[in-house]
Amino acid sequence: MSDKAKIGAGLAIFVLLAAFPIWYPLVFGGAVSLPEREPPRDGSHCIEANMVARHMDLLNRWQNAVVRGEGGPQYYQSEDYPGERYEMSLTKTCLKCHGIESRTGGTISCSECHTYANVEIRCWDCHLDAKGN
Amino acid sequence: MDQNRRSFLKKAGRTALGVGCGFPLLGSGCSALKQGSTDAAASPIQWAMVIDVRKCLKKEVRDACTEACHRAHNVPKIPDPEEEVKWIWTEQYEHVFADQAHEHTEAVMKGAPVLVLCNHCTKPSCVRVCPTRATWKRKSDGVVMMDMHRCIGCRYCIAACPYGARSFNWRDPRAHIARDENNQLPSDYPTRSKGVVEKCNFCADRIRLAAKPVPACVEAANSVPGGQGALTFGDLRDPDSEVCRILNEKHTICRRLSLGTGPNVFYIV
Repeated sequence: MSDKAKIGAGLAIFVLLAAFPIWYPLVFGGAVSLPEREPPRDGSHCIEANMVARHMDLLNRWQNAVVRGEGGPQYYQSEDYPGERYEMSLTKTCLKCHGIESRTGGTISCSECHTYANVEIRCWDCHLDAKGN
Repeated sequence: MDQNRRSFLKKAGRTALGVGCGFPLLGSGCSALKQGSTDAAASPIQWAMVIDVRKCLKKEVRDACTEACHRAHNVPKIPDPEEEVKWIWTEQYEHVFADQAHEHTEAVMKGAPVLVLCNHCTKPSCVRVCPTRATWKRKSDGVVMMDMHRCIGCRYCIAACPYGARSFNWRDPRAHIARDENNQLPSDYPTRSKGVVEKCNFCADRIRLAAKPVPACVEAANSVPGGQGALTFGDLRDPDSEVCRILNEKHTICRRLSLGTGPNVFYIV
């Protein structure tokens, strides 16, 4: 049965091609690893415990509350850390720790995770990092 | 009573006609009542401005106002008039007060430059047409606000505004904002992006926290020699405010009053 070899070779080529995304980074390296998140060095914490999952929803709500509010600062009551109150402000609250570029040399900037997740954020088309750009 | 088929059909027809005519009347009556109630529940503060046209005849005063405003809000300077972005700028008297100017207008006013900006109308037509509510009249102080996150760039508001107070960003504005020697923009105010509409916001960011709010243009005018009192800002609802005092004492005019938008920028000519 000479066809057996042909079929076997065809299958092997198919599997090799189909599995390309799996073996390519293993063989040639260059796999993009999940950005390592660095906890704050001064023992502080973010406004909620799981901000990786929650920040987009929170930012959306803050944006609506502040931009469409009646003027004057607005405050956010932390749910995970009872009694803690934060001003709803990207530049005054979030960017105090999270810069457009990381402030600690670590991995807490917005772009590190968003580049990894291929999520394009358009905040910086308009908003400026505190004092200037 | 003799009730035959013919008279029954006649009565039914009249009833149908009566109900058909009555509903629209009822509807418009209801909406008129509603309109009345929203007018009654007017904002507790209504910011307004009085512009003394004669004091603004000096170029330095007008330039100082525009410069201060455009710096404070990172407004780009685009030379092409088709694409320029303006918050407060200068127009000829005849164009600003098209319905007031006539061939015997006093010589000093003919062709005189007049400062113009968003009128923060009591009944803003731009707000009525916005399909996404990206622009609205703030209830607390009557400022006509813009939410750049929501603006989809349809430009209905530009078409609706009878004062030409709105500008569209045809291109990325950041390339046209003058930067200082450290490559920093003039202000921390967010720039806009390509594809949104913008206009004067009565310095909503400045006035929301101040005890005695003064927009950037008013402050700039007051700092120029001869420009003191060229622009006055204040609350129309407060009878003791400076704007109310001036409106009581002097003859002032508004732009295109007949349209019923209720402009809140007044001119002493």
